[in-house]
Amino acid sequence: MINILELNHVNKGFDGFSLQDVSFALPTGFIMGYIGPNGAGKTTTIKLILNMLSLDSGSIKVFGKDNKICEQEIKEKIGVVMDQPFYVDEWTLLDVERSLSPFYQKWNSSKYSTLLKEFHLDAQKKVKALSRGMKIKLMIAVALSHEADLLILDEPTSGLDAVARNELIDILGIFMTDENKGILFSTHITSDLEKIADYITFINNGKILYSSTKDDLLEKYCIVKGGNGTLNPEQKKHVIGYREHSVGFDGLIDRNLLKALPKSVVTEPSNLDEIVVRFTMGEKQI
Amino acid sequence: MNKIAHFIHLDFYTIIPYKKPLYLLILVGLVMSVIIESISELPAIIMMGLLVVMSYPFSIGEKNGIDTLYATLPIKRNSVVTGRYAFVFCMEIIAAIFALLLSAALSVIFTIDLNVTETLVSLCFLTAVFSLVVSLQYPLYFKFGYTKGQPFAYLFLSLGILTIALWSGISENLASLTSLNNLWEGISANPYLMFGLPVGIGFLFLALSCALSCRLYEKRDI
Repeated sequence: MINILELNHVNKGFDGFSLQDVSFALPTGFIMGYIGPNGAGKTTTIKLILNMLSLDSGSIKVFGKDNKICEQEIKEKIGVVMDQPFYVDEWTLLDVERSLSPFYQKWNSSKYSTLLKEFHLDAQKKVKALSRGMKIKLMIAVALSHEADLLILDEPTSGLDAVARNELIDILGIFMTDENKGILFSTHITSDLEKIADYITFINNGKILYSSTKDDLLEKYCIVKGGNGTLNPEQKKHVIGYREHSVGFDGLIDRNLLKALPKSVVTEPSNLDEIVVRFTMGEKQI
Repeated sequence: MNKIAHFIHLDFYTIIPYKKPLYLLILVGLVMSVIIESISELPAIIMMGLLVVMSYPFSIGEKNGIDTLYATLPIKRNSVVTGRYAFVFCMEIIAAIFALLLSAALSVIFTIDLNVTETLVSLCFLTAVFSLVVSLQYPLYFKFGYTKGQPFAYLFLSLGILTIALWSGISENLASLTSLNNLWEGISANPYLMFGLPVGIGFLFLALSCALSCRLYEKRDI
């Protein structure tokens, strides 16, 4: 399987924060959810992929090519959607096209017009007059108009209402009908990924805690609940993000370790949100 | 080369929505020239306006997160820097030609005397001052961004505007020194040197500054 994006042992240090030995790979034809709490290192990773920051060590390959050496060639085929739009506020959507289209060899003007219509965006409107959801759609329209093969989305859904988020998910679903494409979708709103992600990479405090398929992750862990005093101190160590309340306890556990717990405990399927929260509480390597 | 041309185009689109202050300055210059019946200050006012506008790509860019846009485009950082300097150089040439044509038009419409040689020499020296100020400011913006580089850049901008504003006085003083200065006589006797030297020096400033900015922007974390 060819990887559309590959990070190998990437390190980047700042005062008070560092990305440590970040490695993951996104195979072509799939969507990877890049999850973690705020400040975990998601945006830093994306900035490294885009060469906005320089690596301390490690390597990044996009479409199998070094992201620094083949930067221009790679960026012809990358579409980027950030949490904040990066177009001049006073530009109309036509100005956006006039300004950016010369940079791309494969810019498709009629596709841009069609996408604006599909997304109900008025080409004469200024960027500053667009709602947040519309700005995200504009960035996607630009990305799709230059025939990007890899979409890199950094928190595109934060601040969007449920309807706008669903629309975005639908757009991404259509994009992925072409098996030569891929999406890296960074978010802390994990419910969006439950619907569309094939792979999950989970980062916390600059370290990758998990990177593999979403289904494996959801199958591996479950929520465990029980009454007060059910678990002894040794058993409690198996529970990730152990939390006691007035009538009992709950936490996350690796299904393989369930046999170490008393039969009286109750288990429930987990979800990505629970996994992120519990691991952030417990700080354990998956 | 194409990418640099595309970047000049992008810079033009970045500042074009914010053109009003430049128009206002030109209008002030026109009104002033007509009232005082002299057009010798007009080129200086236009170049002063251009100096202010030439920080717009950085200020507007920073407000709108445009460095992120550059990072998403298929363009090298060196091309971003070179494109920005090329844009400034083009604007400088256009402004100088525009100032000359406007002065000529005013002199015809309002029958004000126009000394073409004096205006040309004045414009050449103004472009040299303009280039020097830009050459000092831009590396700061590329290194620190607009907000952080602004205090130092403003200092250079103020010096530049002051020099341009006092240009009439300075040029008169320079003229009075010509009899004492053989070098100046030599230069002023040769029209190619008279026009070419300031423009050449200005270009050299820009080229050196561009090379420095390339190195600084290459290393900058966005």
